[in-house]
Amino acid sequence: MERKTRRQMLRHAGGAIAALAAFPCFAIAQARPRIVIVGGGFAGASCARALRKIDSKLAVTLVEARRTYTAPPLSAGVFGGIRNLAEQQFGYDKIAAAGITVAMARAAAVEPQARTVTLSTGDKVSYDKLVLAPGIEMRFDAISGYDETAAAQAPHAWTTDGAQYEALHRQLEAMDDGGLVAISAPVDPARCPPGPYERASMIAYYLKTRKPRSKLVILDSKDSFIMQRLFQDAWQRFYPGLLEWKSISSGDNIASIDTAAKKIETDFDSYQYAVANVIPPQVAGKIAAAAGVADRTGWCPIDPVTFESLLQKDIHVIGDAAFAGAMPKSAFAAAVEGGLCAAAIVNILGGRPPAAAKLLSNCYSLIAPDYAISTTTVHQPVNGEYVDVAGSGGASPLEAPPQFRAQEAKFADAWFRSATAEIFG
Amino acid sequence: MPLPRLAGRNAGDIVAAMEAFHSGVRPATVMDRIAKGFSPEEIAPIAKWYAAQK
Repeated sequence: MERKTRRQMLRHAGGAIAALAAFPCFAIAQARPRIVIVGGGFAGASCARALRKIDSKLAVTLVEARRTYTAPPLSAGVFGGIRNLAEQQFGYDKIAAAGITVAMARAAAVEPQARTVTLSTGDKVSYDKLVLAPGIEMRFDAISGYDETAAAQAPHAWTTDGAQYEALHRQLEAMDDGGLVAISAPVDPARCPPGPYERASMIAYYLKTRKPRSKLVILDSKDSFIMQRLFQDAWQRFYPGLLEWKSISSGDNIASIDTAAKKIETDFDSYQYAVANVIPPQVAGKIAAAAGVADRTGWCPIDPVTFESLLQKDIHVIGDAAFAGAMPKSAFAAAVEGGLCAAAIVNILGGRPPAAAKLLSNCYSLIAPDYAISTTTVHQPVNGEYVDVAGSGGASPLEAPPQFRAQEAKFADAWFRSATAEIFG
Repeated sequence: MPLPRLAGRNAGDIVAAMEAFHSGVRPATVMDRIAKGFSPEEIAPIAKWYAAQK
């Protein structure tokens, strides 16, 4: 990690750090600083583990509403019929065994002045530092007819709610051969930009192998998407005539859905579907707005060195909810951010300036069982924002032998095993 | 199959591998793209850290 002199740090990170550095010991009267983390996903759970690893004297509380975490990465394989949902699911026992207090509750409110979090149980938890890792919230006001009730019929399967994944999986298994699967892809910023196209690929694989007279259509609210050439070349190769991508330029962005009639209306057309996977636009998880750390965009502006909110002191935001320039909304980046935020918090609590570090993301998309592509980014904080490190990163090459794609598929699986073992194991 | 373990590996070997990924001498799937994001000054402590892990 890059170390900078104190002066460089201050110049670089600006006022937020300068304010903290001026009061290095800001009134931590307790012998054990209390850190509360809301959200037990790749970001929050990584942060909790890293904090305990760096300093076992810290009192770390992880607030998470669900006993079982359903991990989104590689979940496309479940719909492809090549992974079990159980492989995506993890519990919090090992995290608790590592000395982290796991509070199984929803964070209902944050009181920044009093420095407390109110839980759905009514309990209040005090903090010296609060880390919010709430992931995303689906916008149920964006597509006419798509509210929480409709989401049970036309699942998004885009959060960490296992029931959503089960519902989509069940519907795909129950559908007759010859039906249409419709996937709607949201505008950016959204969780895992390549995700809708990976999922479409895997559902196409399922249809090709199990229900070959069926079709799949992607109704996109954008007119281009990440790794588009790589995806489209692979679709042409594996799923010609089966998978069709339609974009907003042709008027085919989703406008409304009628789940009773199983009908999607786009601006110019209408689609009678057998299974609909509606991935609506998103904002930061609910608690972010309640805590006053989300801005008008619905996302949370942060300092890229400390991850501290630009809107509320002593509240740090990591994972998909946060933004500071180019921050990929990937599980890989979220896990890295958890570690970086932990290190920054320990430095701040110890009266040391936090060190700027690089943010790495490497995100795989599975297109067929032995065929994956990836996008890699390396970012560094410059003037309060993450920017790409010149000459680094990029996507898989357009031309590559089958062994190359197969190797990436192996790496995808290996990354998932390593990352989840480190966090939940 | 898990990823090859870096923990406990010789720091000099890790530095050499990263340099080879960076320059393109060593063929790679993703490590070339990652290595290009880090300077030699950053790679050295990273390698040292991995070497110290069990």
